[in-house]
Amino acid sequence: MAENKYWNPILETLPRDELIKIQIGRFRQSMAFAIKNCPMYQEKYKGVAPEDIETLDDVRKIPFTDKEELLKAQECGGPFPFLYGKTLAGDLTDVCAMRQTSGTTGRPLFVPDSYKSWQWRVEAWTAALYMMGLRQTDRVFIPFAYNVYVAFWSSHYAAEKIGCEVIPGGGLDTKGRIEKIKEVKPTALFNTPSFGLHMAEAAKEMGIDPAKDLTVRKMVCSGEALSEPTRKKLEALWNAEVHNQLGTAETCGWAGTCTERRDLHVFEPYFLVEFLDPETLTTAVNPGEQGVAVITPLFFRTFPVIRFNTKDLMLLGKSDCPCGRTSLTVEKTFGRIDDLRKVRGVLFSPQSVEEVIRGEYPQIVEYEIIVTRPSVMDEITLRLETHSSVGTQSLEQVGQSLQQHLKAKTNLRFELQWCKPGELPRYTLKAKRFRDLRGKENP
Amino acid sequence: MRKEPYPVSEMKETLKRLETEAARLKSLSEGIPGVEKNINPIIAFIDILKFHLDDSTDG
Repeated sequence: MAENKYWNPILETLPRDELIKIQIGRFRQSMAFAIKNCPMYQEKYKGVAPEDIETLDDVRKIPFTDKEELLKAQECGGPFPFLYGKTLAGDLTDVCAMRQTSGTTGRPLFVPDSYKSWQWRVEAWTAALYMMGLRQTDRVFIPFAYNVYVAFWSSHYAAEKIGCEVIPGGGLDTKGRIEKIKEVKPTALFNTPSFGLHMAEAAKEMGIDPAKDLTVRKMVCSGEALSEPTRKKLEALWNAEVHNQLGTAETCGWAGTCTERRDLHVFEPYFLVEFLDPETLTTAVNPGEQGVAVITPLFFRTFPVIRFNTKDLMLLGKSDCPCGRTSLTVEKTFGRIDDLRKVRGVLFSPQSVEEVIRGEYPQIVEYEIIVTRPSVMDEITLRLETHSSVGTQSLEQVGQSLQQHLKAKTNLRFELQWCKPGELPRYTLKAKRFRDLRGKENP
Repeated sequence: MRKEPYPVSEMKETLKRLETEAARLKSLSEGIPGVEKNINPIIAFIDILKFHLDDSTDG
């Protein structure tokens, strides 16, 4: 029998009206469970009747959950288990694992899972990896130290479920990981985009060309936004298909690319994902429009999350992928609305700098953006690191060209500061390439 | 019609029987951790299988 290209040919090709019917039914069940079992939702949704939810319009009337609210509910102490506060649904004895968010935007959130909840997380990731083309003939290397952070745990177990050979690559430095990749010859890597770039750079310093000398032909990126220029750069560096995955620890991974590597498919119906008008947050946007992603995992029970406002701005795709999946798609991500800062009165997204650098300047290996306000005006400095082979004269030319590109893209003038090779930090998990120091220099 | 290539009804019926038997085994195994704990994963996977077969009766 020919191999099926879908993890589930029934659900992944369902007509949209049937898909929505399943999602609304499961949304009702998730709401009812949360109200019955989770102290935070008992208070928040007092008086809400889940059985009355029949349409997506009804869903949009339910108040959002956001990260701050979950954090606050975990701080309450009281009669509930300490770590999870009012966010835990059910009994602490059902919890078989605790992991946490990376804490990029503040104190980390503790995420409890029962065995059953965990298997659902893994299942959603399995569907995603299968969609990306991972098969039992793949040998997966995960160059990451798994620990309390949720990142990469689900993908590890999901790859096992498909039948891949999975090699955990923690406890090694970058050089050690590259040597291990050379030794065990994996066909796939799971990593953050930043670490994929860093490993390629480090390999070249070791005299290894990842595109020719290593066997990696698929790369699954998660944990950070992956811009199209960065994806293309990674594909060239590794001679590999590079896949993108969107997710948060609060909701699990909820969208990813298929083997066409165009738009990202939402993992329906594991999730109900709404894309809402960024101004009003009350109406759904249409394909081709920008919206904020609001996510409800439809299988979480120990740690229910209803209508989680990710604050991530995205361009909704046209859902015409040749792969035949009927899910909603995401064409582009713009980062968090919270990350959009006003600099000199101009709305600025750090992601736009990444798109210019990764797309046009292969000689720049790392960068950092720093915004300060020494007197009354904002100043924006771009610290840059190039390959050691780039000469001073070239730097001047690169700098002039880069400043023009950035001005055209962002309407801002950047001061450039060249750093020595290896001076800027490298990241294995979430890169922090933007620092806003305004108001912090002269307290 | 869309489910024609796959014997969904038969799979659902089989799964229902499996669910009933798993619940029975769990009930019978009270006091034998080795049986009781090992039946729990089966029950978790039955839930996921029900989802895969578009059976929205999961709670």
